[in-house]
Amino acid sequence: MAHLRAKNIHLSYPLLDKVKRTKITEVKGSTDVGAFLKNRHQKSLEVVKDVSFSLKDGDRLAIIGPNGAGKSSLLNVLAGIYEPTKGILESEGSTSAVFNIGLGMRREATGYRNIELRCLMAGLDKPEIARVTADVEGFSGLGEFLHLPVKLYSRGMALRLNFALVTAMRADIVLMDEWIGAGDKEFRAKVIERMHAFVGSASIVVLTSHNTKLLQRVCNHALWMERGNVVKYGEAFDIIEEYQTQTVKKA
Amino acid sequence: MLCTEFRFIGTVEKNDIMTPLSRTFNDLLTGGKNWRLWMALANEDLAQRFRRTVIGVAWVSITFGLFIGAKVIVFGSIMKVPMAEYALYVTLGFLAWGFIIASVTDGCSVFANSENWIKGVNTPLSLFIYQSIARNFTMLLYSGLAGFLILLVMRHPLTFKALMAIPALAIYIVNAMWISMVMGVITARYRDVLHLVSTAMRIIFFLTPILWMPRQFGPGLRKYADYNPFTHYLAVFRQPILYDDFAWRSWIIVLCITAVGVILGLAVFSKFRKRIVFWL
Repeated sequence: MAHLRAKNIHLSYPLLDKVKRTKITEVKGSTDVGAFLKNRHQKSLEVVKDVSFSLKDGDRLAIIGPNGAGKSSLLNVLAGIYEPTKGILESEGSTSAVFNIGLGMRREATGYRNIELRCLMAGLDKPEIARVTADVEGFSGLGEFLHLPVKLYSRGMALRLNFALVTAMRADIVLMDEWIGAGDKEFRAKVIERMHAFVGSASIVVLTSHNTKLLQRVCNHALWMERGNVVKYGEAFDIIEEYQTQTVKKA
Repeated sequence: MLCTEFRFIGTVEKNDIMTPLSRTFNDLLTGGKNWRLWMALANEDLAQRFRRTVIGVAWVSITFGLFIGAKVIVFGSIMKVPMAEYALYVTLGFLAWGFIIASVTDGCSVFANSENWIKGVNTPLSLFIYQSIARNFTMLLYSGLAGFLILLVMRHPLTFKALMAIPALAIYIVNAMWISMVMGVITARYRDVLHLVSTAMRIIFFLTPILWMPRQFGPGLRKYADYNPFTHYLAVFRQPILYDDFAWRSWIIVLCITAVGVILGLAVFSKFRKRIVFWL
């Protein structure tokens, strides 16, 4: 029995001298002692404020809201990457988070080696790694290319490997920042089918997306956020409907 | 196609019942348990460093051997000690120093260099410390191979006391752990520290008896060398092999520093562990 419960979760993001540093130090390469001293008194930005919900087996939660609402930050908290500043997060079950590109792949290493490393990162044992490897071999259709370093792959090939790998691992709780889509034409149908199987096999799914139709179809709960605050939480269909009419009005 | 990254969170996590210290132990334990991963990552680091070379990691041994050869030829003629003794002194000193300096500088960058993983995967942070130590220890073993050959060539007699070098290496590893826990956290927040430390270590190299022997110098420098903690770290490894000497006094000093360091490491890591991700 998987569950995921959030009780009054807050997340503050410390504002370092980050902005100034990027602009002055890292780009120009000059020193930046003044900014350093000025910014010693840390400020922080509260990006998630008092979020609570409780999900059990079979639940599908949609997180909606405009850009900067705190959706991704909240997902990061649920994924355990950020510890909440205040509040309690309880989860039971293996969790897999499907987030943006650029993480984890070792470009110098072969496709097979990357599969192995990710499986180890996911804490899989030998037979499971063998299963995932076989699954990825079968689905990605990369064949002999899996023996080559990933840096030699075209963008499309790398995405195929990534997608096959992510969806080969089953988890009780799946967290997704945007639905994973497409690929080339012949691959697309396979991708959609596999994505449904992947999401369908999870007990709990938390999903953010700007595709409200998709969210209405997939989810039963919805959490509407704005500037870190919860606007509404409850039945997915109605809340998404209301959110849509409101955004249309604003526009 | 939009994106594809995944990550895995492990099982139950109730963040209301664990104190920061018990979380630290939990981090160290779960990180350690996944040894297949950190060994694989360490191997991958080394493979990457020597990718497309013909002899690969053997470069570590060759570099070490040649380096020692050059130092002994240049400085050996200045020192008023038998060439064989000096050669072994430098070999053992460098072997230990190589691991120490790598532990300190890599300890600084341990979290900063793993930004992608830390921001993308919910994984124990200690994993990257283990990875860094495994990598540096492997390098030490390859250098040690060359060092061992030098020992053989010099026909240096070894006694059972030389086995004390093994606990010395063990204590090096413990020290690499706490150094990474302290310096990794500080450097993640203040990136200048890495440059400060690597500069400092280059200076300390000359201030530490590696190329020179304290007994060759006057009492002033000898006294100073005794205040330098690195002198004692080197002694616990070098003395038993070279001089058939347990170096008890140095052991006591090293153990005291280690004890303080471990406490400091646990304290710093417990206090700031959850903030590291925001600093990257």
